[in-house]
Amino acid sequence: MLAIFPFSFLGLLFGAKGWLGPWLEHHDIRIIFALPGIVIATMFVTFPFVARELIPLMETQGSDQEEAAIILGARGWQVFFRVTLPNIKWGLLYGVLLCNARAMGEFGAVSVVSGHIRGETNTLPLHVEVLYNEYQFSAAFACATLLAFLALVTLGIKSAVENLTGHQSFNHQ
Amino acid sequence: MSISIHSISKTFGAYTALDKISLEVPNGSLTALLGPSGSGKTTLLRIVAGLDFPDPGPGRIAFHGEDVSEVSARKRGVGFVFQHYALFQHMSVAQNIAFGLRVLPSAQRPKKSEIRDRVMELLKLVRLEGLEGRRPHELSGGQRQRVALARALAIRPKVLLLDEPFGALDAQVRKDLRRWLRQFHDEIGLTTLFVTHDQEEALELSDQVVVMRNARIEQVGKPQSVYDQPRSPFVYEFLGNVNKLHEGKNVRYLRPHEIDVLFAAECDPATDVSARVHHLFSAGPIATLTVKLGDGQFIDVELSRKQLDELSLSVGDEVAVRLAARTV
Repeated sequence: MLAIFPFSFLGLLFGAKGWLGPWLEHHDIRIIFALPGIVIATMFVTFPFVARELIPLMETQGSDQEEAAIILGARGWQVFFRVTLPNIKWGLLYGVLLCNARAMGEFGAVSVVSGHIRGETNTLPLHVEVLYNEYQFSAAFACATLLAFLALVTLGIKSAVENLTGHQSFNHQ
Repeated sequence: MSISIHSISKTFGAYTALDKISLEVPNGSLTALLGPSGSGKTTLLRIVAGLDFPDPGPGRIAFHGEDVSEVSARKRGVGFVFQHYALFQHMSVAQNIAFGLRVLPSAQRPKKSEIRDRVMELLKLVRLEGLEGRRPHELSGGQRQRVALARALAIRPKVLLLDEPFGALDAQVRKDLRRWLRQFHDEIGLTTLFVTHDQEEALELSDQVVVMRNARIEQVGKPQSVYDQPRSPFVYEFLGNVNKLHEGKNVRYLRPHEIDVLFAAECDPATDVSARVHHLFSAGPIATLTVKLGDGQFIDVELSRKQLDELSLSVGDEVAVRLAARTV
């Protein structure tokens, strides 16, 4: 599904000769080779992680609690913030965490759309490649070590969340 | 407040869930919607609550004469207890009950102290004092159901709707709660409509039984009259055990307790049929006897233990049965 979304589609949509390209250029909005491009590309690759966490959770929960809230007089936003969100918060946090892990390491999609402008549109994994290609091995390894460390931190938070959810969120009747 | 349902239809694609249903639920009554699964009873309840909408057409729902067909579920002012209670898992019992008051626009919202008093009053009403700090998963099934009831009542609803109120409970709790709910209803006097597939529950609990089948209402009446004067073979079979006796082209329906068993020597050919005891089940106060008639048909008979002891029957004995019942 979305996880195998072809990234060339991004170019097709937002590139200079893409469907939205001329319009974007006319309004002086830069997406490709700029920060928005990186954000959109990362979203496309990582949102499926959140969705994959939340959809099964919400399916098992059903819509009874939301319906109960509506009958008790709650408006749409009250239903969302007081009933839906608290019920999915751990699943959502878990999804965001996985999403973050994937985003940190994302190379392909970001590489296509970012343009590798150092200090502006470079991400950590791209920077490793740039440094490596410039034969600055120790700098490249330093960056890679930093990435590995961040991965460990994420792993730590993930198990902490799993521990918490084991006691709280999946405890349904 | 009375509930008037007028000519409500509901289809899901090619499937008809409700076919021009009209029904009056009298003010202050406890009415049961009884039927097998797929008969449309839950759909009807959800439409009354405003959770589903009927097919466009002449269909109307009115509370005490006031048309609410176009009113959203949020503003309709009904109390609804879901089959699995749908309690908010992340809130305490008190927060669950207070929810309907807390989400009111600030102009109508009672003060914090008033909300707390109302919650305490409701907890007392459903006999759950002292449990206000518990979470739903720390309660038993029966307690959860009463929390759901208190939560529904907090908004002072015009009518109370219950979807299979005892469906998720075990047999003993179910019996106790059934009796409690009847008392509770008599205390608060709120017009109540509940859905059940359990005929015993409907007959014991309600003032009015509505028997539904295949998207239509089969019969409406007091429990006694629906049980004693079923209008169709379906109602006869659905409300309690029944024997079907084939007599030529006619089918005769007989409740097991409407049949008398006599000694074979007392057989009066004008009214009685001779039979042989085929099976005997006598655990509990009521004994069930299966007898085989002369023409090979089997019928079940219910006798009190006392009657059975007087007859001192055993399997294989010759008896006479007196069939005092009507055909439908």
